[in-house]
Amino acid sequence: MESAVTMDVPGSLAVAAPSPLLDDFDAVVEQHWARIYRYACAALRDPDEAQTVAQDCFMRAYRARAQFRGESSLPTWLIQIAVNLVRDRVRTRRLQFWKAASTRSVEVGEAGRWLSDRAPTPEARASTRQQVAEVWKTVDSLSGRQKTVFLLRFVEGMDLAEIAGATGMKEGTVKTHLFRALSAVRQRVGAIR
Amino acid sequence: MSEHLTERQILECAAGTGTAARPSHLEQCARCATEVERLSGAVRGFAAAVHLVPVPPAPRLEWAEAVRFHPVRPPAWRLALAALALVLVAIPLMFRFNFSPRNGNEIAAIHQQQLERSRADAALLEQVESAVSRPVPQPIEPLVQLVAWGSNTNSGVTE
Repeated sequence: MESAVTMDVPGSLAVAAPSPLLDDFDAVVEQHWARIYRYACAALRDPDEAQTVAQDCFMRAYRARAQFRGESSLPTWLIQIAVNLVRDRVRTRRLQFWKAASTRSVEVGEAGRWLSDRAPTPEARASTRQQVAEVWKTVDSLSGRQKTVFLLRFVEGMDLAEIAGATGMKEGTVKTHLFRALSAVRQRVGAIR
Repeated sequence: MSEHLTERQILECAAGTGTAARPSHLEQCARCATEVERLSGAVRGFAAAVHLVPVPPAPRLEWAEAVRFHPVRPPAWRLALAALALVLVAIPLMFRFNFSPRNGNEIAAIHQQQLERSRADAALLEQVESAVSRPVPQPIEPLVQLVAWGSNTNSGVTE
């Protein structure tokens, strides 16, 4: 966890020095690009939109770099921006219901195939492939919050406190969404036994 | 051995948020261990699959320039929401001030009036045109005819 660099002046006149973590912004982008892109891609299932979101995320981070005081870690702060951007995209998409679904959706079935190629037996390979596809479908059907929490916990490996910080939810709420999401996955995976 | 784990406890174990007592139960209970492993394995497989999705290279931008040329715009859903709110405010106001939209008959009557007005305009324009195109104005026409009759007689032309 990075240390806070706030100049502690009480009240509304508090002056924050930009964190030195953001001094070399290109290095920040290089280091965190894949993570932000991956999250956006898993949440939106559209590589083009994910790329736009990732780029917007770093633009916003650059714009707001003076406000970053190291209260949360840099990855959590960036993920927080990405979560907000993804939420805006999803809401906008709902309004654009007349638009056809993206033709360039992420083929996680394909990724599941690469993954399952490493399984020892054909049965295990098929089973892994099917499980990945089922989890992928289930995650897609989750509510926005459940999906966000699930992806941040299992894809990004964030703990409950970090997820709470990134999403603005209480830890208890994060836990509830996580269990609901997992319960849905369990039902689906249990059904293909 | 204690009883099997509840649904909630299995989810906690798979999410990695369970207490220390549960892993010891899993060591002793094959059924619960299988349940947890099935769920954890599926989730791990999904996460690994997401990590295999190809990531494009990070953009190399002049961030200060990029930010300058990409001003922050409110997301489309907020604009739509604002438009909706505006409509919701405007509709009761329209009824309150009796700005009821015109019905079909009223619109047809307006069209008819416009048509009649344009016909009248066209007729007037025709009248003006015929008056302007005369070689001599209508009131002095008899005089012109009289002069013309006199000149015909002088030249010996008979009609």
